[in-house]
Amino acid sequence: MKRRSRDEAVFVALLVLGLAAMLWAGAHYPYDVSLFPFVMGFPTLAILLIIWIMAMRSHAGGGKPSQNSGECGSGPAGDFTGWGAMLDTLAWIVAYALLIFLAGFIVATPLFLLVFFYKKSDLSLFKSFLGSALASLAVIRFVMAFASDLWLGALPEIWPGVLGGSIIPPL
Amino acid sequence: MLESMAMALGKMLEPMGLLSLFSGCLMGAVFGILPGLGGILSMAVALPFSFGMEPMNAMLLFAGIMSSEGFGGAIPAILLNTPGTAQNAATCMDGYPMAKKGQAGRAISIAATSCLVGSLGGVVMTMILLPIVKPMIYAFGYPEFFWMTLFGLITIVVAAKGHLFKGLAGGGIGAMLSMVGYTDMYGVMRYTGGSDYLWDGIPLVPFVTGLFAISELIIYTSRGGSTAKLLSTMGNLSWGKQAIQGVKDVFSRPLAAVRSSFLGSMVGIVPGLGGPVASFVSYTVAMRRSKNRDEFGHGSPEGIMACEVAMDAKDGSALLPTVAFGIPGSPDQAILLGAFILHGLQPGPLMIRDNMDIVYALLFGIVLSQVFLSIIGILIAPLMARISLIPSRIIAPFVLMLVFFGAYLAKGNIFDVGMALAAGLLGYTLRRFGFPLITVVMGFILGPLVERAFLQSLQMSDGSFGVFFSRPISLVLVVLCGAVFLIPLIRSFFRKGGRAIR
Repeated sequence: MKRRSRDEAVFVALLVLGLAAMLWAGAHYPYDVSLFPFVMGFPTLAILLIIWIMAMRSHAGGGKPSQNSGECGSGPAGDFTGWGAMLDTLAWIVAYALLIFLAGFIVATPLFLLVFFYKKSDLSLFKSFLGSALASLAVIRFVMAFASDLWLGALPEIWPGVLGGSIIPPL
Repeated sequence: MLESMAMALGKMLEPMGLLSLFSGCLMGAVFGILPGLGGILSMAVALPFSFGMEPMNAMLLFAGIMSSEGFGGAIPAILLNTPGTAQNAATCMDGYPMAKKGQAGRAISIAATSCLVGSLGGVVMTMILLPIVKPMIYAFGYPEFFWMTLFGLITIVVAAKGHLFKGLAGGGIGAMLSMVGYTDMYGVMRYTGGSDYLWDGIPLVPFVTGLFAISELIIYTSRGGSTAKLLSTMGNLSWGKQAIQGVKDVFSRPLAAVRSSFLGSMVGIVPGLGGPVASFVSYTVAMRRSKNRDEFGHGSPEGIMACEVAMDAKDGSALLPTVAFGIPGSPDQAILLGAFILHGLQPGPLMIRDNMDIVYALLFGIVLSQVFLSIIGILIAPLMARISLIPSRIIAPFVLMLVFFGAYLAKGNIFDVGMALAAGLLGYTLRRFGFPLITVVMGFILGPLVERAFLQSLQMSDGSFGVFFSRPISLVLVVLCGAVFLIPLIRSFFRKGGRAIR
């Protein structure tokens, strides 16, 4: 519980910093443009500071659960796992996103599904292969009905129309 | 009015209209059956796919999803004692005991029939109230819309699960994020940090989809496993007889059906309350009024009926504040509001004046998809229940795939996939520390609307803030905002009891 209060205090502090940075940037805009961000931003900042103080007090008091403890503290115990399991899942999601960026949807999707089913879902190699191939085929065909141009990857063009050669938009 | 109704019916009965409606129906039912994946997630996943559709067909897709989740969620609630969506939690109390007695077919049939009755009740209630609300909307100016939107936001914050301050902070964070990008009122950029990608602001589709869907997937996948086992008595049921009995159970209690329908509709009209409140309130009232009070909790048909009728009645009536004031009547309608904006539909007086056919299409769509689902649902419920036995680690990659494809599809920009991912991470962390996501989305969607109302009010009054307090309707709304915000605070000060909805 003490660790949770500390994590919460760190997260809220990050939110406070982010919001403060937005308000500071807003100070350089003309009055009319910055008026509404200030109307919304300053009360939000004040509320976040209250939440941060409550989290710090909870941390200092040995992490005693309070009404402030939110879903993790007051919700069903099984809803949130430890950070380790969460980061493991997140790593898979990030890996899929990166793979899409590099190799495009058509190559990344079956590859991701195959590895996920085999490694994470404990399916046999045959079932993983079959599942990933069928699911990818169905979804890609379905999606192509909506968008003619799927992202093919940031890699140089290797297989025209399938792998590589997409132009990275300006960031 | 009649012309709009006829147009809505005509569009709905076209092949694409029916296909959209039934696709939504199927999607809602499947997501509803999967415990942990129902509710807002299915709407969020569907949002990007609706982008390329005609607005009318897109709305029919959402009508199908909204109306079918309740029944989809009732199936695992009855057969597995695991509610598919939060609003089905009350159904477990009598549905599962009934299934254990070997009457699963009857319970599912009661749920299906009740959903249909509830949908009809909610839609009728909305159609009665719409003409009453109409002149009220036209009497609203910019200051009133400003307060009304704030009122909606505060109501949702108060009703949302978690701490009151965190709900408010979530709304503020959402509103601040909505201010990134080009301001069309002043023609300048804000908070883009020099990024070209952020010129148009944080894109709605990947943000909302990521916030809800990816955060849910992280929780769902890291938890692992699947739900409970199917009841062993499933194979021995005389399905047909029980289905007919279930239909009779509902139609033999017309007064209870009307009462639950009315209660559900009333809950639906109050912004932010949603299905769980509707079903629990209706269940409690039904139990108090019933002659067979002792049966409740042990497999009472009245108990299942009360929950399911109210839950589905709220779907229709929750459209009223969404359409009329741009304030979602239930959490899933926050996504519907996003869909309105995505398709260039402006909730409020403009929608009531120009797009009544869309409003009627949503209402008729809810009823038609419920008719379809009730019939099909009773027939294939045992088969549908097996979907919830699929382990989460097989379902999760499919949903993730849909989320990333969907995020990309809306604008064809690959960085939208990254935005969905970032929003998902933000959503997960916010949820982990008790910030209700619905208020973040509300702030994000309503932020630009509130800003416009705020600035135009000031323009009206040459910069005087008095305009927000000098008009009678504004004053009433200020008092309402204060009451909704302060009453729970005062209550919790005197009574250290918690309240959590959804």
